[in-house]
Amino acid sequence: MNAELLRLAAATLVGGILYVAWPWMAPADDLFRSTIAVVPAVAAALGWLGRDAARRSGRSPWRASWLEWALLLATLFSLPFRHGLGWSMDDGPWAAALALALGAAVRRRLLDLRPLLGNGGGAASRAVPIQFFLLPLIVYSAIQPWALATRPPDGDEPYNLLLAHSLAFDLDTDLRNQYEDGDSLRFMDRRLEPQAGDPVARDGSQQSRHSALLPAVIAIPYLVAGRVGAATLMALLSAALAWQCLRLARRVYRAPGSTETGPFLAWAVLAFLPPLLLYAHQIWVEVPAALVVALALDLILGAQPEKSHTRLQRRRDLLLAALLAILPLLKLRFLFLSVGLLLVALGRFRHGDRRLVRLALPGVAVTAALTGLWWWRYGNPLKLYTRGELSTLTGPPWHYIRGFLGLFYDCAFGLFATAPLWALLLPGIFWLMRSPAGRRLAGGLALCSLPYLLAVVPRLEWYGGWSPPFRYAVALLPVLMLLLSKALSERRLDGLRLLVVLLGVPTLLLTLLWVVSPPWTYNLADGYSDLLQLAGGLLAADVGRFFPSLVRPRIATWIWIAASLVLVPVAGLASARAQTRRWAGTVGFCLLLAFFTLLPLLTHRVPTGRVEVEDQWVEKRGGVRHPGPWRQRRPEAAGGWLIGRGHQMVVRAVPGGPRVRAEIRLMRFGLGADTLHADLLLPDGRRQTVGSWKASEEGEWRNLDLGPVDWPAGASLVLYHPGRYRETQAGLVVDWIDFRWLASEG
Amino acid sequence: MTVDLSPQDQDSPVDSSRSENRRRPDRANSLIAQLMEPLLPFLLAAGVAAATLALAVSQADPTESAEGRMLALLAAGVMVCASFAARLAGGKWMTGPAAGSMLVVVCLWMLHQGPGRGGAVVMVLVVTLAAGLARSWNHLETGPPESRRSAYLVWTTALTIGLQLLVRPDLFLPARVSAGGAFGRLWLEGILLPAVFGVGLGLLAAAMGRSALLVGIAILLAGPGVDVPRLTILGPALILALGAVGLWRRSGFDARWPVGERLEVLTARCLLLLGAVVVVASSYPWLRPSPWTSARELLTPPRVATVAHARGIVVLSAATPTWHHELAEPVAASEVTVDSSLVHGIRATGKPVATVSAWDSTGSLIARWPLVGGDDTAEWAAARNDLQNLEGFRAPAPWSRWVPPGGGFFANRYRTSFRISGSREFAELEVRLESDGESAPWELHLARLELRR
Repeated sequence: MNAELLRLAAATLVGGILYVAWPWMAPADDLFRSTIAVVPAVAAALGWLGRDAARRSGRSPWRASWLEWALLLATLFSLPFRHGLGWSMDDGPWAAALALALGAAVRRRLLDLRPLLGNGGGAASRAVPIQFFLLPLIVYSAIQPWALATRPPDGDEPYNLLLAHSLAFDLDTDLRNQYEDGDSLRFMDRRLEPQAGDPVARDGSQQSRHSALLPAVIAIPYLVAGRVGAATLMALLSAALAWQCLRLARRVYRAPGSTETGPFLAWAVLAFLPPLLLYAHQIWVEVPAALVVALALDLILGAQPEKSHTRLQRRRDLLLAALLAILPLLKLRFLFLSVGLLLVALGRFRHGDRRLVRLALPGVAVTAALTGLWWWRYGNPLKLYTRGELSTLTGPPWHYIRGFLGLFYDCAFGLFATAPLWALLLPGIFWLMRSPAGRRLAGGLALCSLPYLLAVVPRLEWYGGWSPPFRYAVALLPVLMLLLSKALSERRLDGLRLLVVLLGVPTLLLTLLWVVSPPWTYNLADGYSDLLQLAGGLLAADVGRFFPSLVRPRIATWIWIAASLVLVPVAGLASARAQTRRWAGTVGFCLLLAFFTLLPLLTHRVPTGRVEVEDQWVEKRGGVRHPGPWRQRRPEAAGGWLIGRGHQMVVRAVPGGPRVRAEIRLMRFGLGADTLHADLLLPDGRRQTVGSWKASEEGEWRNLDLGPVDWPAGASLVLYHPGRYRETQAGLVVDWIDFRWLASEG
Repeated sequence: MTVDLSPQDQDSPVDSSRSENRRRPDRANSLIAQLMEPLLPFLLAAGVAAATLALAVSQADPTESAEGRMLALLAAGVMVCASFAARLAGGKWMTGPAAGSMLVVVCLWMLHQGPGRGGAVVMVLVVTLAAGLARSWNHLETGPPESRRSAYLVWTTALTIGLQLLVRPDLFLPARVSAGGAFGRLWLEGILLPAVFGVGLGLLAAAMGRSALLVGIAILLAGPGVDVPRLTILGPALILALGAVGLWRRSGFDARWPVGERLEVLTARCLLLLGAVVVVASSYPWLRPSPWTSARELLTPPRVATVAHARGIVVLSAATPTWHHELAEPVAASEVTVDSSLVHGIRATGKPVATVSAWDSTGSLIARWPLVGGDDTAEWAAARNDLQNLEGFRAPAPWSRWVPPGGGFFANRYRTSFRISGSREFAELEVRLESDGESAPWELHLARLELRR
């Protein structure tokens, strides 16, 4: 132990020296400076973990090959001097190399830790060793410096940090002086302004719309180490969440005579893949809420109704009651999580048991106290929400469908798009329903989740607003992990092996991209994601139309949903002969390559239908996105592109016939340009005018008809306003263009 | 509340009949597996080529498309070699080449055209090939003697062909009219010649052991790439060297001073690492003719204080002759490095094509340097056949290359540096195009500007 501590101390010292010496070797603003400082300590900690696990299990630790060491050292050595190579991108490949090295190390440590779980069986073997907390913590600590250096605080983060700043330095929640003094410059480059709707108390103090509990928790780490300290605490909470979820899964799933690989693999997916990996270094309330849910579920599912009057059980009840009360303090909408958990407890405990009253009372009291406090301070028991806004809780059925499916399938915000491996939930649910105990568990999990989901999915911003993906459902990760455990326990089935490759490889690639470039995890609600926009720009064609979106539903959305609901469970159940079982991985890999082959080809083969002109693949000269990207409740507005004098856009449509009729949705905005012209840009550079329209009414959307006109091969449609180019905020807003291809005359 | 994860939970009446099926002998599937197994490397390469070519042909930017095609074909060729090498190790050998393939696909999708993308793809290919060779190194001496020779032959041929393809990416450029055509050049220079050397090396190594193989690899890396002139030197050199090894063993000195397995392994690893660096220096985008010198350059890189311009190409022309940049903060530096190339610059040899100026934070001029055609920069198409022997035209050694659309040659980008004595605080930089009134104006394409300590 002493030797290990010495090693760790020496490694930390080396990291510190590197941090101090870095500006001598590389530019002072080099993004890798903070990352390189933690690499030695991370390597030492991972080595310690491996040796310790090997000692406990009586096996040899998995060691890195000399080639892996050589690659890691070559990457580290070349890191400060990479600029001298003259590449146009300086950071991505090196960040990816370090991420791959970390991934390889995590894989080895997982193999070392697996024997520590032992065999399922008696209660004595159900404890989860602390190593299953330490490994995720080490990984989050390794990624954190890079994530913090490449992505400023965003979404709710800066406001949570500002509130923490106020609590740490002023011991109050009045942010007026924080805004005036520009205290946000301590952790970001931007001076924060109050958010729209931030409440002002009766005493004139400027309060935050966000709850103060999480900022209070991070206040002390923030006081000590600023944003880094706060992020470190979040990493601790995330690692604790993963650890607790594994404990929960081991409590729920009993596997005598087997080695419980299902919960172990599910823990690995939860801890080291999105979405938790993305949130581990960010200041969002969802992760603490998920931890509270995991603890509460553990207490509920572990309760023994026949021993309800023992002292131990009463203490557990007290803890459970406290957890249920904490949730609404984190965020008011988490009250519905408390309700769900209480309903599960209702199903577990004896009917009419007074325990339920004891469990519910603190939560009710806290909620009543909160609303009372808000009424007294702000004159509004809901702090800043109105009754009209609450009506979203009872929206039309489509809103529920859209929000629920969007949480899982949307290309920008959905769980399956962020980490496709989570699609194994689908066969997991199926297998769970096959036994009576499984059905009871599934029912309990549904009961736990339903009230909360019914509250959040019908919202206009069901996707969580400006945030990483799957935000609102992160609090339900313990529930999802239990379902995934069931799926991964069936891994010996061949179809599941194929799915693991088919879904796992894209998951690993996407995880690599999210780790290397954290800003890509934040997307606008425009029906695409940053990745799809990048792909569209690369191909100068509409790639996103082949991927599902519930922000802007299209045919591809329903195809993907139907296919996944049918194919994934069917594939997961498939079984094959022993000889072909070994080909499952190869077939999965071939399918992946086929996907990458077909995607660009289809993009340029499938005729263009509707074009949303604000998309990146539409070539533009001048103009701006309208409305702006940061407008509140943006999904309510028709997103388009504003064209002024001298501006133009070029649409390279894929033809579906020799003639075309098009419909253009247009609105005049302000007193700028009022005439839209349309030309066909031919391959030889000539232009052929095909239409012009004058918009008279300002602020009214109109649908303009174009054609039918002949569409020569290789032509593009150009929409423009003539005149000398100048920047403007007034002109014509084009929303979309619908192409209808005609086979011949007429 | 607990749920069983036990096997009983999985079985059902349907499953029991499947269990019956599993127990039946599966000769048909075994035959398919035997047929498919040797084809897997080619299938993998075909898949990588398809996935990457589909992207390349679909890209709108012709420069992106041209480079993408070259890299796609290069990746496919090297993956075949890496797969055959890895296959010797058995087990889950396909994991390495599959991972390398996916990384190549990701690089081509995520990185923009330019030295960075090319360099990243080549590094992935080199690592994949090296990993396959390293994994199967220990298997060369295991197994029955009758399969040992074929193992050596596969290993050495995978090495020589893979290495040849990496150092000759020009073989994958768009076809230019020539006697043999593009495919003929690829077959002869890319596969046949290195295969000859590889087979010879493999046969000799199978007879003399892995130590002899190390000698062959060292000779091969002395001048990476195999062509007819080199073959006439490499071949005899290899025979002489291995003959000496054979004599060493026959004379009994080998028993008195045995090489030892550890030394052999250490030598192999060092050769592999050095070889990887040399190959990277010889391959796209650097394509160094003397890779050992360049490898030394790469291993002792400069201390860059800041990169003043690193994204996209700045074009200086008659319409926009000046690029001026103010640094966010003054930077202490002693050297300015400029990466650039000329368009329409054939007649610029010996003439100042641009002026590079620098000022400090007080506005005082630090220095002003001329960028001279033929010495500091030159025509981007200098590698074109018709310019090779053009009288009065010269170009410095290129720093990096890129793939022009439709061309059968690599385009050049040049690097030059200007030093000052001591160190100053640089605050502003400017590059201004100069023109020669007599000839057509040239364009300067500015790719990168660095300040170095």
